[in-house]
Amino acid sequence: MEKITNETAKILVIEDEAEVRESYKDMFSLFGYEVEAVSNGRQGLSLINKFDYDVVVTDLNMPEMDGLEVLRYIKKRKPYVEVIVITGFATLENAIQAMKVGAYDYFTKPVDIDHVRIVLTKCIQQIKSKKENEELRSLNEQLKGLNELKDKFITITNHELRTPITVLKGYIELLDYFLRENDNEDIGDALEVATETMSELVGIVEQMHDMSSFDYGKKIFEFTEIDIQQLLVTIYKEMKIFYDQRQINLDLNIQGPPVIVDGDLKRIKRSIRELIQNALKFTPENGRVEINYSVNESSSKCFIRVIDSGIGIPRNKQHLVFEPFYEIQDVMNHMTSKTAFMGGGIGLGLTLAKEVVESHQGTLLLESEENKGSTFIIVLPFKKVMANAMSISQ
Amino acid sequence: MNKAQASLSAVQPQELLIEYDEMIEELRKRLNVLSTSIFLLDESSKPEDPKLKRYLMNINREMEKIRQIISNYPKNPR
Repeated sequence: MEKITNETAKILVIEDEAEVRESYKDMFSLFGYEVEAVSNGRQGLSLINKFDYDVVVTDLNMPEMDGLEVLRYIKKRKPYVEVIVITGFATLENAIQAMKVGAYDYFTKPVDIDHVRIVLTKCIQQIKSKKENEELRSLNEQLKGLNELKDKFITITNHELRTPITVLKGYIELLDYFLRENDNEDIGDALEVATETMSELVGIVEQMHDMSSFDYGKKIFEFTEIDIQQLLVTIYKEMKIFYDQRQINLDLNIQGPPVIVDGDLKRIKRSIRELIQNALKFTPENGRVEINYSVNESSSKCFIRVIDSGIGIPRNKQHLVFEPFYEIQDVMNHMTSKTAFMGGGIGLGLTLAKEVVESHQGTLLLESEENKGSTFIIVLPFKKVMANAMSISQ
Repeated sequence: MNKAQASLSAVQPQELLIEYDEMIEELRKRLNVLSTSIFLLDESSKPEDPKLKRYLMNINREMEKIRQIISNYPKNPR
């Protein structure tokens, strides 16, 4: 919406006496308005039909077409244009009548310059407020529409998609069991792709469900006190098996006291896991990944570093890794597994991890060098330091 | 509402819907991959086995249901 300021507000003056007309034009221009002036009602209406004015200031007593007729026409055709009438003391009754028909206000001749300035300023402000209200109303309508659409999405993911996905997953597991039991050698690759794709489908529906938790853009977080050190130990134990399967060394180094972070346990855990899984995906066999935990007590921040000896990320691609649906690897080498070297995902994990960390007032940083490895660093503010400091290396 | 929750209010509903749209597209792609794998499995396994036939039939039936849901998915008015 175009904002009205004194500079952009457009005023049309309709006054039959040339000298008076010119004086009004000069006065309104001096106030900073854009002014046009005509000598009678017909000319005025012709301009009103062609152009947009914010305010029309018209004399009431004019030959051909008087100010009242002009006012009635404007209120019928362009009700949003405000009209101020000018009248002499002798015809004050006409001015009152004009107000009843819809005039914004009236000036009496000879006009008082301060009064004119005050009335015009108020009038322009009122127009501005009306337009802003209209904009807000329209925005509100749009938001309502978006919210209805969002409700449809929630219905899709929560009720409609979940059931067939669950049944499908069940049958694919049965198929997997049946075919392996019957020792069918020809189906190995197709079965593996089907199983992996199925787990990706489940993952996508889970993520869609997470996104449905947004309420007009606000994600619902369940905040609890998280012992970050303990959480890292849990994640380390959960992920170790995947690393062992691929002969990659996973180390956990805890340096510093345990701290409590105020946050959503499920989402923080998922974000850290995502970085560790990402490191696994991009580190070749016999490589090494380290999870380092440290604390800076003076700034009340804890640092979780996931350091891999993997393929690294080219400098010109580093800004893209947190973009949704971006996967750094070559499409030709793409595998469907989430844990295999150069395995696939849907490219949302790092995006969501960054979003979660930032919504905890933290930062997710990346340092990487191609063919040498990457380090993802989560910096989180902590609430307090726990008493029993320890140093763990696993 | 604390600071962390407040920072999330910056997420626009329109952005959310665009992401949702893209996820539906991802779902569609994965469904195609799955469909191809199931077809290959069907082709390369013993068709006379009634148990296997039933599993494959049910898998295809559920995939069809998902396809239907996705095709009825309301369009995001971008």
